[in-house]
This record gives sequence, structure tokens and C-alpha cells, in this order.
Amino acid sequence: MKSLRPRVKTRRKLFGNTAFRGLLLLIVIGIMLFGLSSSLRSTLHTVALPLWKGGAYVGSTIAGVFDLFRSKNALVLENERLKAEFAELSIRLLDRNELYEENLALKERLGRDASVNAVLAAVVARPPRAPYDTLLLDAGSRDGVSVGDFVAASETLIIGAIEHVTLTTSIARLYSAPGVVTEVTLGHSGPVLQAVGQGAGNFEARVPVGIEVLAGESVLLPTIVPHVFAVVEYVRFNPTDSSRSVFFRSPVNPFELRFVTVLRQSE
Amino acid sequence: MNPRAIRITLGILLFASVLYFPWYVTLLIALIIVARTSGYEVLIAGLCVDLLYGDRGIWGLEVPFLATGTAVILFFAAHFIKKNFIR
Repeated sequence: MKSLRPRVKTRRKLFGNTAFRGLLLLIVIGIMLFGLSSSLRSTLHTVALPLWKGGAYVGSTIAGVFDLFRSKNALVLENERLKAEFAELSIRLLDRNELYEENLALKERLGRDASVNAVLAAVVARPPRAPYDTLLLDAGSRDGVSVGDFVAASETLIIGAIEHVTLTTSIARLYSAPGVVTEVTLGHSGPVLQAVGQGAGNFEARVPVGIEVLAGESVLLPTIVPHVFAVVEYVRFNPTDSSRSVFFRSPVNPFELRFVTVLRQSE
Repeated sequence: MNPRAIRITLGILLFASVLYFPWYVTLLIALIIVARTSGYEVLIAGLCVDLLYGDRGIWGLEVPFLATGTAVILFFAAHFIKKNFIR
């Protein structure tokens, strides 16, 4: 006759494993439901931030080693091209700065304070490392960042908004994240559109047939300071439709950004 | 190689992937772990992904803690498949 002991042991082991799995699942659900996530997030970010910075340093060192093997001619040509591009952009920037200052001065005369309160933040992690279209920044509540603050590639090119804040870090959700809907305007006096994120800096909006849309036209966020949102790439027209699909794209690739500006809404 | 050593190595790779590699690499390593072992670390890794990178979901699906939910499904699906279909 077989002894019952092995079966009892197997039953205990099975029960122990199942109970452990159930307990672990309850802990995970508890963390999600009972608001422990923000304190855990803060702790995780505090631990991970030096690891990310260390990884970035190692990555740039390795990239520097590979740069030694690039041909000198290729580097000289690229240098000349970048200098020419820089000179052209500097000229355009002078003109733009003059207009921007004049715009702010006019608004101030009309009783509106349109000055920008901003903090520079380094992008610590970005897609595809992050599975969501978010940017992890190294500026947090100690730097005056709060939920809802705009995130810009420069001071005027808005790409997203702050979603979570810890003491030293923050998470910015990109407006181009798939499914995210943002209200924008076509040019300075155009209609208000619902821009739907398509991922990687791309957007789509529906425009009634009667409204003229041209490729290269600016799309702006409807705020007191006219922040550039995207540029129209092309328009798709279907003769049987009463509206057209307009596709526009952010001038910068948000996944290649190394620094962003957080436009603080409060002091 | 010692199975425990393999499990520890895979676990370290999983958490390093959460920090440094694209999310699909993390998912691949998680699949390997749940296939070879009981895979409790996959649950922790899923929670870490959501806490580190935000938890609002993707593709318009406002499902909070999507990575954690995926890890839970993987964990229990692997256990079910191993228990019922693999001897």
C-alpha cells in the first residue's frame, strides 16, 4: 500500500504556491488601488535616476570610442554643413526674438502678463524604452514643476504636459501619444480643431471641406502666448466626404530630445 | 548551468531591461522567464514599468497600470498552460 505522505506534501506545496501567488496578486492590486503608487513611484525614481545617468554616461563614452573610427573627411563635411545651418538659423532667430518681445510688450499694455516661467529639464528616459509615449524628466516638485505644466522642446514648441511629479523627477505625457485629443487652432485666426495623436510627433484632425488648409501652415495651442504645436504635412481629401483629414507633425522628433523646457504655471 | 544561476541571471536581465532597453525586449525576457520558471519577478517588473514610465495606457485605452495587468495575465496564463498542457 502506498504511503499518503507524498500526496499530503504535494497538496501542501500546491496550496503554498497558490496562496503565495494569490498574496502577491493582492499586494500588486492593493498598490494599484490604494494610492501607494505615488510614494512607490517617488522611491523608484530616486533609486533609478542615478542608474539612468550612469547608463547615459557609459553610452556616450562608448559612442565616443566609435566616433574615433569615422573618417576625417566625413567629419569635416558635416562640420561645414552644421555651421551653415547654424548661421541661417541664428539670423531667423534674431527676427523671431524681436517679434516675440514686441508681442509680449503689447500684451502687457493690454493688461495680460504673458511672460514665461520656465525650468530646463534633461530627458532621462524616452520611448521605446518607455512603453507609453512619455518622457521622464529630471526636474520635480523641488524645481517648481507641477501636474499640468506644459513641456516644450524650446520655449514655444509645446509637445506635452506633466502628468506625474515626484520630488526630483516628473513624467510628461506627449500630446502625440496615440489616442490623446488636444484642442488646437489652425494658424492665428483659424478654426479650433481636435488633434488626435498618432504617435511619434504625428497628429490627425478632421476639417470641414469649406476651410482651406495648406501644407506648411502652423498649428498652434490656443493660449495667451501663441505656442507652436505642429506644422501641416498634407491634407487627404475624399470627394464623398464632408470633411477632410489633415495630417500634421511636430517639427521636432520628441524621441530624440535630450533637453526640454517645463513651462511652470505657478511660482 | 545551475538552474538557480540561470533564474538569477534572467531576473537581473529583466530589471536591467526595464531601465535601459526598449519595452519589447523587456516583454521578451518576461516571456522567457514565465516559460522557464514560476515568474514572480515578472509581476514586480510590470509594476516597476508602470511606476517608472507612467500608467495611463496606450492607443486611447485609458487603462491604468497596463504593464502590470499584462504581467499578471502572463503570469497566470503561463501557470495555467504549464499545469494543464505541459507535463
